[in-house]
Amino acid sequence: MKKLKIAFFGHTSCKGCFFEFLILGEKILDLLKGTDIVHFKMIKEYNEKGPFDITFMDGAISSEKELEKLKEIREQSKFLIALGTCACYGGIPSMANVFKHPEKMVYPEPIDHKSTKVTPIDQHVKVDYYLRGCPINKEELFNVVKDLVNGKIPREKDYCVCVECKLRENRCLFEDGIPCLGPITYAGCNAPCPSVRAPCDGCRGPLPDGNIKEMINLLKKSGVSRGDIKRMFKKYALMDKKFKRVKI
Amino acid sequence: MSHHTFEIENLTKLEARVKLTVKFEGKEVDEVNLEVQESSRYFEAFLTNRKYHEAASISQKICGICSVVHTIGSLKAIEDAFDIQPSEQTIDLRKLLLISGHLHSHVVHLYFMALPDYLGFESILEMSSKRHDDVHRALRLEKISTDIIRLIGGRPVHPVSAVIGGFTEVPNKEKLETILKKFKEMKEDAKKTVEMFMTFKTPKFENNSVQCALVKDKEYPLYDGKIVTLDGLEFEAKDYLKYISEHVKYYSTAMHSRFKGKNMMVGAIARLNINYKYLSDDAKELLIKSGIRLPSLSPFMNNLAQTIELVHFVDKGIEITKKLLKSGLKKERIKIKPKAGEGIMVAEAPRGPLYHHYRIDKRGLIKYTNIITPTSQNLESIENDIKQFLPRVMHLPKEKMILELEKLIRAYDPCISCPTHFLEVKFV
Repeated sequence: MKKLKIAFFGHTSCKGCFFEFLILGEKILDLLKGTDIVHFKMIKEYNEKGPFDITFMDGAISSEKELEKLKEIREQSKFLIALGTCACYGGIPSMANVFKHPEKMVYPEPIDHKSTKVTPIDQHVKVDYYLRGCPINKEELFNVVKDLVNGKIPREKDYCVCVECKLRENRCLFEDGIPCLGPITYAGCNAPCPSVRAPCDGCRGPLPDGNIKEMINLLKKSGVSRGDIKRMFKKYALMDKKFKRVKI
Repeated sequence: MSHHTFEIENLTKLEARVKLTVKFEGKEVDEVNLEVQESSRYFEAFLTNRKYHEAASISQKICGICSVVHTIGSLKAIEDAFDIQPSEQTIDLRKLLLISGHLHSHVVHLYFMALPDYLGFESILEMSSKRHDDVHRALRLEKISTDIIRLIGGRPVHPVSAVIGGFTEVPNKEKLETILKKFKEMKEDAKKTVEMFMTFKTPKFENNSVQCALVKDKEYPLYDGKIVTLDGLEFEAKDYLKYISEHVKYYSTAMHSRFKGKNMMVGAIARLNINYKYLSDDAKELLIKSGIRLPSLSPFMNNLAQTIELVHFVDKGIEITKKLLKSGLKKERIKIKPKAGEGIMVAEAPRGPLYHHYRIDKRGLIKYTNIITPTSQNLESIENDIKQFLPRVMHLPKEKMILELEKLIRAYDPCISCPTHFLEVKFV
């Protein structure tokens, strides 16, 4: 069987999702039985140009140069995966969009680098799979590649974090008065945060059919202020229409 | 003779996009610009008007490899602002997290970025058939170190359970026993790493950058301490702005820092030079065996210093976990009273001292943030070293020359996402 060619590319992000891949441990060797990693600048000296069978596209788009590169990569990729919340939604870097001149708040003098509005990659190119999370879950990445190697199209989980949280037999955080975004957030992470009594902060983005109105009511009942609810929504996916039009 | 410029774009095996531009005349190097092309992410702006408790979960996203120290750093700075003194148990658990974070980061750098250069492979992936043992050791260390982060922090990258005042949940006895087992599993692999790296030849090359590291009592500190230079100048974190200044370079999205106007070098080699007396016994023994002469002024020694730290951190991890197992972990109630104030802290990140500084208003909103990362402290020194080192490799064929320069840059283990407010090589 011919090995699938994998590429990793990164734009505006912390690169944490690359590390989720590297910490797969010996499972990486498993993956290499059916694949060749031909492009991954963070760990490779020689990087092929393409075409690629599976491309992991990490990071949001925040400059003309990145946009140009993204379009080029899409052309060379059979199956393009948005790697992590920055690529899927804009993520934390997209918080810059709420400021008029964020650069002036950070750099005391002007620099050559010109930033644009921070955008998710599907605003510019077709995405074949969304690997959500800040960071992604390494097991999900492993399973997606396994599926593709076996000729299957991987399926995203279209239910909320609460489902996985319940399966882990956790006591619901709301019962202890801890507000949590689990009810409206994409599953697939296996609920690591509520499993250590830390609330889900929505890093995998809002489900399209998530009941935002009811979520707001629930949060208000737990004593969360309007300002705090806004801040909870405007963190990872503030560009998403689900959060953009919401009235709190 | 005319002026020439050369550019190396797309330096590889670094934690970001960096470009190097060198202007030279004959053998004289006029200018070296290390252009960080990683896009700007404006964390200091993002944190403005956010609630105090969000600082950790936002600032940890500055960097995927040092997220542990950014998390703990922001917690410490906010606790400083609120006059909260965390318990000894909390500090011990945070130390375990920091140790695991350093182990993880060092393993990524040593095995995935530096080792293939020394052995003549293009990447660790290429090594998998020919250097089976080394690859397996790398993957084991990488996984086990992050397993420990997960067991304490809930997630291997961007941990969540460490919060202001303590932990949302402390590990139970069973988890602590697993952590102890995992530290013990790493010991032999850590020792083998030192023994392998001590056989590698590195160029004789020194610089005069100011080296800084934390000092505290009779410790090899990561969590807290005073900042001290190799010459013995000492200062407290709260006075950092008197000593360390950040500068904008028009060509780089990363800020460059200086120590009283001078280049600085921070990280494993600086820590080893300043604190070697407080290494664990086994780490000390390997230090002697390695033949490093201290103090070392060579950036190339940073890799070997990291390997010795691996052994020390594993020993320290075992020691702290045993202590916690003996005393037993208690569930602690966290009470926080937000108030207007200012908080500043320093901690050792894998690459050197990291500063977090916040001002918070009476509603608990963050009004000012300043974060100085270790890589921004190293950048001036890297540029200057390239300038000094380049004439020695300029006669080499281009590919070989680039590799030698990359080795020098990689020795610093620059972590570029961090100071972007942050590197490709371009010889124009």
